Amino acid sequence: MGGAGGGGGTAAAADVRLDLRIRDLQRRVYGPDPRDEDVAALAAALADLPAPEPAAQPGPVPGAEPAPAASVPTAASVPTPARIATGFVRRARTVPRRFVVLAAVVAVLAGAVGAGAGIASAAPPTGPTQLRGPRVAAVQVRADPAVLGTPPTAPRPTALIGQGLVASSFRRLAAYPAAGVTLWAAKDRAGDVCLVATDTYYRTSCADAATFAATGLALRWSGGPGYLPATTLAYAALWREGRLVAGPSAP
Amino acid sequence: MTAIGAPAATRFPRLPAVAALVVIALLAGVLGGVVARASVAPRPPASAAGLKVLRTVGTDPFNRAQTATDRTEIPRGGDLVAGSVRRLADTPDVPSVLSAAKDAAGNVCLVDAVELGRQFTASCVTPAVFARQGIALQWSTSGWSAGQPFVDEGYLPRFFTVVWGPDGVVRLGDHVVGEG
Repeated sequence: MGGAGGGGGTAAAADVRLDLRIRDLQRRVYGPDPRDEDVAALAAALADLPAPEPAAQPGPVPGAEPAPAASVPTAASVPTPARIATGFVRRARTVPRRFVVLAAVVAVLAGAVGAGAGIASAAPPTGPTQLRGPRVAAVQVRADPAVLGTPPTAPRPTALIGQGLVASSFRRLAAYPAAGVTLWAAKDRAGDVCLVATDTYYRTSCADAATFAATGLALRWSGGPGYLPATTLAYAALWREGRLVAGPSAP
Repeated sequence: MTAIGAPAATRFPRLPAVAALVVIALLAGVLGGVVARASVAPRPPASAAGLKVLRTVGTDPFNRAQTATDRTEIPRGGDLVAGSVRRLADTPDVPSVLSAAKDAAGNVCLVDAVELGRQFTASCVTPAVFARQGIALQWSTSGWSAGQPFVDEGYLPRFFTVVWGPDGVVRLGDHVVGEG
């Protein structure tokens, strides 16, 4: 049985049927009240089992002629897909369900431990977890990030907007006249949230939505081009948790 | 009756089973670790796509000693710590300098400065955010075009995008109005 070639599928089915019959008989024979007929039937079924296939590299048999160095494999020793599948099914059936469950539990636990170790080994550096704003707030307003989802309305920034930012996304958050700027919410081309300070020109800090939600956005600037260098002052703005704070930047 | 084929469950060998469990545990642990590391691996922000590499500077320039070159464009005023400023790169065509700095709280900042630091722009992130995705800074200015470098009163607004990624690479994108 289980010949090579075209009869492989039929032979495999026969193998499976015989295997199932043996298992059924084993349950009866090893059950509480085994019957003699079942014992006999099991013995007969086991006798029908195919002879063990020769090993790929059989060891020397005492008293036998040594095999030729390069023997031609017989058809029965060539593994066919059907034979491999049958063997796999037969072996898989011998694995107790408890072992399968235990292996699954072990895999999940080990996977979790490995994931924890992987994350721990990639732990972020220590340091502050919150951004710093100005020490003195010259501007302090509510600034709901949801404003970026509202329809565009006036006013619009007077500064020319570069290709990195989406001009139509600008929403005014607050004016900061003492610094000569207006502060805006905007989006960049990648969809990140941005805090923009504009006068004739602009300066921008952007972050993806998750980072913005976690830490906010911090921007610092001095008087831009057109300011006399001697009059330069430094400013800071922090947009976080629905509030915008801006003011002079001081040590 | 023991001569007749015994039930499969009783024939399952214990030693190979334990070995199989160990192998499964090792494979699952390694796989879990690899997947977890991949999920938290640093990656440049999406805004870095399409930018050209300006310079590779590493991710911790603060580890090296500050030099005189670092100090030429220290931002004046503000809460950026002067001793933390490290020069990263010069922007092409315009006399501005990109530097790394830390604010007084220890956050990491990307700074663009001109006029010996009298004029600057900086974007700051927490160290954890920097390690994961770096810093992006955008600004516009005028007066310097690629065709007419260092013309302080030019009429060509110029737009910059700089990303200092967690891979240690500084990427730059710039565009001058009227220059295509």
